[in-house]
Amino acid sequence: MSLFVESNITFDFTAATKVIEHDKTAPTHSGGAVDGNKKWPGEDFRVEEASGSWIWLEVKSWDPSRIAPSRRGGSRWSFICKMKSNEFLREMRGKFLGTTAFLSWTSKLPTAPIQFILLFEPPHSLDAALLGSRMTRMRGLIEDSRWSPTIAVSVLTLSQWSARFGRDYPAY
Amino acid sequence: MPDRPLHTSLHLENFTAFTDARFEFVPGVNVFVGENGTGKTHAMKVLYAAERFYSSGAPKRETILGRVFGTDDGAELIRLGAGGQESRASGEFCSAPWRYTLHGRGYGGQFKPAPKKALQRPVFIPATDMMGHSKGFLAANNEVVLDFDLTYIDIVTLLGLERRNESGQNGRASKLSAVIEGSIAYNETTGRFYLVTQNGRLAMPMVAEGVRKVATLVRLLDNGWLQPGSTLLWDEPEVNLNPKLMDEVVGAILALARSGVQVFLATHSYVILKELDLQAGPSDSVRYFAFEPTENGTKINPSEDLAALRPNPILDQYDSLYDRDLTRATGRSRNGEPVR
Repeated sequence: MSLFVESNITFDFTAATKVIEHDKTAPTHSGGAVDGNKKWPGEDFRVEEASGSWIWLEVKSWDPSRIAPSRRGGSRWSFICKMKSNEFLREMRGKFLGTTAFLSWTSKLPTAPIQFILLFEPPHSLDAALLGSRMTRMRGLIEDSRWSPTIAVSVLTLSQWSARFGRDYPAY
Repeated sequence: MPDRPLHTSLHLENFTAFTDARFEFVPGVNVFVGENGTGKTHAMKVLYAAERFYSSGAPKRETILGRVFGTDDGAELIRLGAGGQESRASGEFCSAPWRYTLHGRGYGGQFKPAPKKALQRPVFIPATDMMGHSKGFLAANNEVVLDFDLTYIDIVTLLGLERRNESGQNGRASKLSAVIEGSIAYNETTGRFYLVTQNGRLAMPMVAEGVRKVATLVRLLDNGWLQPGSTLLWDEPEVNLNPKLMDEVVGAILALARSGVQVFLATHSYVILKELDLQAGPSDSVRYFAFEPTENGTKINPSEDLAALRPNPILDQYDSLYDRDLTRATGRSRNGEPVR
């Protein structure tokens, strides 16, 4: 078993070839490999699949269990405000650029396709139309047909992750 | 008589798309959601006919339903496959029951007991804009038989008529006037509407259709046809309207409902639905009606909660788009199967 925890979500990456965590100082750090990128922002996990392709996974989940009950209302509101802002989209681009620059300067940039996935679990469920809208905006900031290797951006909820990736990488 | 005239219920039997459908309405905003051909417009038109009967200048009860639906043959309103059974439309308006019976030989109307006084005219805004096509329309309608049903004739008539404004809705109209960046002028002689802006005057056919949609609402507010106690039936307000304008339009609809206008909307628009969902407060009365097509005619499923509305073909289509988008991006189907 190779379990990794981010926010309040546990991922089982046993089926992955390699898992690299960005932040080894996180209190939930599982003890897995870290990439050594201390200068720039990066995604929570980089997962090398058996096929050789990569999943760069960023997890944004509002976790009430880690917030004092008296502060949950404000925390929930600040989470929503942050998630719906363009600043948040720029933050996602910053993570992508940080990882890309680090791997490039260390000559470790993969040649296999990369999926940049935001696993987004808001306090309230969002319509597919709104999730799709955020996904399109994120693609506009990150994807480019000239990039090699190819980058495909997705915004998934936990249930969407479970439907599409749960067989290989269960999460709960 | 209740404090304000309201449609409280509707029952359609073997009527157009319906075998046996019942509606219970709220005083605020009633929203009809369903696929094409499920009878949303028909439900609104039958309400319009029932209320229009009580207002001045109404056609005879033997003909009003046909005029509103644009058919000379009452049998055309009987649900196909009803096997020669009678068709009935009934409901309650102003605490008074009304009933219409249709059979192969013609119409039978019964409106008893009638409200004690003539009510103001309901407003039906068709999906097709008429403000840009008003010039000579009524004159032509008086000369020849035009293939436009009564809702089109009536909206052009109301747009051209001034009625004393007692509504207190001017603030809202002013806000919408800012959206259309001008005011509306009307030439009674020609029947032409104009949008008057800081830069000059534009004949309505030259104005974008989406702007004309908002202008129609502005005009109806300005000339006093939408007042407390009025009924507004609006078929697909989203047609030709840029989603950016829907924020203001839905705000105006809710403001009208709060002021005492009972509203009926038929829509295919996610943005309209979402704006209503977001803008409506706890004290607003909004009820959604899902028109579900079945082998036995359209079934009606009401809900006060948009998220719980089933079926909702609008949200279903966005779910499908999102699902297919994720499949393309991740290379995995919703069952986790690789698709490349």
